[in-house]
Amino acid sequence: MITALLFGGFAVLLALSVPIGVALALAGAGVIAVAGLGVLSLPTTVYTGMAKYPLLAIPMFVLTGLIFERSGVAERLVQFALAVIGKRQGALPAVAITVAMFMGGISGSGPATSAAVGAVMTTAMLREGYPRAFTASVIGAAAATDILIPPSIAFIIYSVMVPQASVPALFAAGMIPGILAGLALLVPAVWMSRANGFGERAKPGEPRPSIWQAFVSAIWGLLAPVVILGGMRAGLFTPTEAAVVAAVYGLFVGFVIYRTLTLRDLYEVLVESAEISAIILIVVALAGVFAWATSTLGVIDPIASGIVGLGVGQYGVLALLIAALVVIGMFLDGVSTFLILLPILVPIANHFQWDLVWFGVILTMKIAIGQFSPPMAVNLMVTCKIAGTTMEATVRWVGWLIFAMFLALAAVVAVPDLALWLPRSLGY
Amino acid sequence: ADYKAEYKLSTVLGKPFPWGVSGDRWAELVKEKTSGRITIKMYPGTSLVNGDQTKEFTALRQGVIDLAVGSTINWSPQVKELNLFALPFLMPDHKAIDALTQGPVGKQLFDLLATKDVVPLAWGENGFRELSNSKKAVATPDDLKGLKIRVVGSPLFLDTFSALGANPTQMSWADAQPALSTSAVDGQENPLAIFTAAKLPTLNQKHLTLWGYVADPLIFVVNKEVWNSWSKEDQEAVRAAALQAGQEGIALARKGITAGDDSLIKEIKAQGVDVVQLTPDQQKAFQKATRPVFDKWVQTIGPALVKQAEESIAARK
Amino acid sequence: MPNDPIPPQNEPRPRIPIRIEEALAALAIAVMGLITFANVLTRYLSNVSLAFTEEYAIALMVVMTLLGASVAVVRDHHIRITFFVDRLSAGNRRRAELFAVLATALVFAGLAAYGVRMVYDEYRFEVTSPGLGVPQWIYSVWLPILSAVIAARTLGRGLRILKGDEP
Ligand code: NA
Ligand code: NA
Repeated sequence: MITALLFGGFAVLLALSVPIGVALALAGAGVIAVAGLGVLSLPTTVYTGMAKYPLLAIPMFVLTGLIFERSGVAERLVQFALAVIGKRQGALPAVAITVAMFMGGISGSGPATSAAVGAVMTTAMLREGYPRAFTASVIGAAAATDILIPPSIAFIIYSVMVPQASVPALFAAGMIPGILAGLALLVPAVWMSRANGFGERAKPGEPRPSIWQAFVSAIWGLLAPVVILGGMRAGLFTPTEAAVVAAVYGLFVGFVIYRTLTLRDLYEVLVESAEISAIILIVVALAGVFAWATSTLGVIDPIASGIVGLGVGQYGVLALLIAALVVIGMFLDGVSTFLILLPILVPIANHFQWDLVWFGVILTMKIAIGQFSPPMAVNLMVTCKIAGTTMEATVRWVGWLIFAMFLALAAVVAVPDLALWLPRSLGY
Repeated sequence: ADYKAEYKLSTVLGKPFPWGVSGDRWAELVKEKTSGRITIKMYPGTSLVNGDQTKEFTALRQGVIDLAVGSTINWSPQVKELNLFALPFLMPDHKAIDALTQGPVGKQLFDLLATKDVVPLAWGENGFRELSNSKKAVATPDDLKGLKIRVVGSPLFLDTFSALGANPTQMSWADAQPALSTSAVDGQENPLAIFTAAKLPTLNQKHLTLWGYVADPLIFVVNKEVWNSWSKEDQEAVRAAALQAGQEGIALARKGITAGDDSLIKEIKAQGVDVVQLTPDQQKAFQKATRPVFDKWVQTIGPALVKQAEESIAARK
Repeated sequence: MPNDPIPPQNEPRPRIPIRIEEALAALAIAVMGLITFANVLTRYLSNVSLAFTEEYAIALMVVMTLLGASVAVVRDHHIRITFFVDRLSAGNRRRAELFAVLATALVFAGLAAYGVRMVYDEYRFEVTSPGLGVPQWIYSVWLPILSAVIAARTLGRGLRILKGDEP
């Protein structure tokens, strides 16, 4: 009864377009009031939900991503990738995916990378005759690798909720699956371009840009992931500090090396980062009320043990979870998915003795796919707006990209070492 | 008055830590002794206050939490007298802890807590907090110079480590583990049971110093309104259960770390940890270095209470 | 990982400009970054510990979150699912929109009201912060204040919807 009220109330509020954090808090507080538990817990829960040291990394990584976007790093990475790949059919989608993966090594959020890559790639792709919806689909899907390739806001939230999985271990574990997911996307993106004759071939005698010059111009951007990940690995700083150091590095590149940033830009970037982070963190804070209700009313244990008790074995349960997440991922963004579902999922993972780092990578891959699965696809929202198309129009193209990343997910499910080998080798 | 169907008990650590065992045992004994009239569910990880240990006492007073087995360190932001137990090198051994908790000091602190809308019932134990780090063996205050040490949230701890020349960093336990594994932080201080259960030797914590600088007693408390809603008979049953669970918990917390039974210390050494046991003279050097902090905090805690504590310790058997 | 960093076509025009919240939020995130960076620098360049600064950074993050949430209310940037509502008639969509506005205002007004009790309690019992030992209410008082601001911003948006200034 209480369980139905809690989840049903949340679903109804959500369907009525109530903001997700508000829906979580209202459903949670409503049930707390009905059950006669202390409503005074409300402000404390919300405050402590936000005031957590590891969460500091989120605004800092958002800021870093935006600073690198503004300072023209993405543009230079594109020039470098173009020089390496050369002008051919399907080259631009491949460039977009490669650059998205590199930007993923700097930024922590999918939509931020969608915006950064979309801003520099969309015009070029449209000029060469790639359809608008195709362009939006490829860039949106490519940017989804961002939350797998470290740094990643999704992993930070996961680690806050599952402390046994440390941020450095998760970051290392996401690297290979993230690259795998990017490579998997390359296949349908290039194949669809060739099959439909999208993109221009180089004309005979057309000069190719110098790889070396493009490399030198892009070196500062190429080094950024090394600074972020290397600094953490060398024990120079915590993830939170790594984010700040990367932001300062980005400011140095933008103000001193490229001289592309102005103080006006800096102010705008600060405002934008504050707003984007606030939108994430307020959900984190308000979801605490929902979580408080679920844990004190004891609604989690029956659900978790019910799923475990289905008797379909660990791969059956895993398939079931992924199927459920496909549906949930159509409507919920990644952070909310973690906040609502992890309390149910972690006991299940513990029951089957799944490695919690591996489990986090699997869930994050699923969430990455959700970021470009319509109808609720945060990355596509951004790229469609830039490309001037609708989300409905992407359905024709995006299916193959979803399928490709799904295969990458299946590979990591089947071979856990794809995720776990790197953190183990690094000694996390 | 009406009884609730279930009462919420908050602890910081769950089983198998002595802390969690104490809470669990209390719940079990209460159910037994009240013939099931009072059922308690334990919430480890201070999950009722979103994991923020320092908010536990306030939530308890407000009735968000019904019962708690709480730490004197975590409650010191609300009850400044509880900083007494965090005064560096006040308590030289386990008998000294008992002299405080079971003597006039314990009674005074319970009287004080009773004025803050809670009913304190019994003492438990989290244990002496020992120092570990990844860099070098620490036997003198000089060895600590420049080491980055994670401490729990209390200004007194920052003062103590600063006085020793270390670089204290205050962070939550959740953040401390990755910080230790990446060596962003060199060391930490915690009871030995936590040192082993959290597998700190695998996070490069290869140097352990048994210096016993502070100990952290636990307190079994009930929210006042909840307490008043119970019958006299049930109140006494809950109290008796707390006393018994506290005694058992204290015995468990001291198991394997005394001169008579050092099995836990042997186990830690077997994991390749180099263990330094300070001699009384070595301990005096640390005591001397932290004396200004001690004197400064006596003012906050109350000179009379500290004097009483020192007398009780001097008179211990 | 929500939100589009692209401003909507029609920038809403509340009577009290959101530039106030924007500027303060920008200041909060900038100081947060500076504090954390100074912490890293001093740790490597000197033996001075700035560990205490972490408490300020976290308090600033709370303030930044609430200010940013206020901006996002005005700009309608909070994560929500309009998929179903978009399929309703114009009249029903407006009703749903107003319902969402009221729900949001209710939650933040509730946070403001109960938050006052939380802060008063901390003030009355002289609760100190765990890191620096300063009065805790200095940090937590911003929760009710800024929640009230968010509630007011939400109602302002509701009024603009009623007047037809916003869809
Ligand atoms: Na990333
Ligand atoms: Na989706």
